[in-house]
Amino acid sequence: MFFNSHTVTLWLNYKAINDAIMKKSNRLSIVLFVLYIALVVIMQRLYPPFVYVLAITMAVLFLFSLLVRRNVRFKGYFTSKFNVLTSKMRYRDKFDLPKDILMDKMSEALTDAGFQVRHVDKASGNLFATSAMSFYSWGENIYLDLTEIAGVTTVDFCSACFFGATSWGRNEQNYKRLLQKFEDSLVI
Amino acid sequence: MSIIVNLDVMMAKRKMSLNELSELVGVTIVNLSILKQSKGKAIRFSTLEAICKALDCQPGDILEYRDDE
Repeated sequence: MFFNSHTVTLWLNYKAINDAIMKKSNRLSIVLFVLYIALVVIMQRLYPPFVYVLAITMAVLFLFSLLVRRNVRFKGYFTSKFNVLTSKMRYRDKFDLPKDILMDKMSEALTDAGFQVRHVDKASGNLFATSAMSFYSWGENIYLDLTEIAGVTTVDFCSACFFGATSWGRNEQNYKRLLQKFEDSLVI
Repeated sequence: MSIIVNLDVMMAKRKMSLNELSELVGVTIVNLSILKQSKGKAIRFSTLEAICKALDCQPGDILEYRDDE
């Protein structure tokens, strides 16, 4: 079931590639996940109680993710390509606006889109927000990194499920929703 | 951009700062900055009316059409 879900996620990833200027895939995490599944199957045959060990391990990891989810210092943990337990989508867009103005507009757009803004660092151009739990996912962490070169600001968007091998399209929806709210906010 | 917003010109004529205009019009400084740089997608009539009232001018004094060709 996990493998089929991840295949669907792969297909959704490739489907969304035309909607973004640049998008990074999770190929390495998929390879690691497949190896992980193979290891589980082999270990279960060799040592049947392994399944209980695995269930406890997953529960511990889930509780850990839940505890640190709202802490911006764990950004690397949630966005790492080696972390197969968090499904992520990355996009990159360019806007013809200065970084300081875009920071405020993105913060406004995040709030309007229903996300909760947890951390804003104007100096480094970082924004961190979280989404609420839904039927499809436990919730996502949204990370925005803004860099300005010659009046054009590049926004690196990353939406990562805090726990889940697949987001069922939620990561993609988060990106589209944020973009839509940002476009709407340009009507003054 | 075909529609140019000459807000900074009118503000200079009326000797009004962005902060003052923001308070009078009820629009945030960020949005006024976007408007001033002609980066907005659209402007509401209510906003245009408030700006014209605050700057005592006509919409044509703020908005200008420039043919890109």
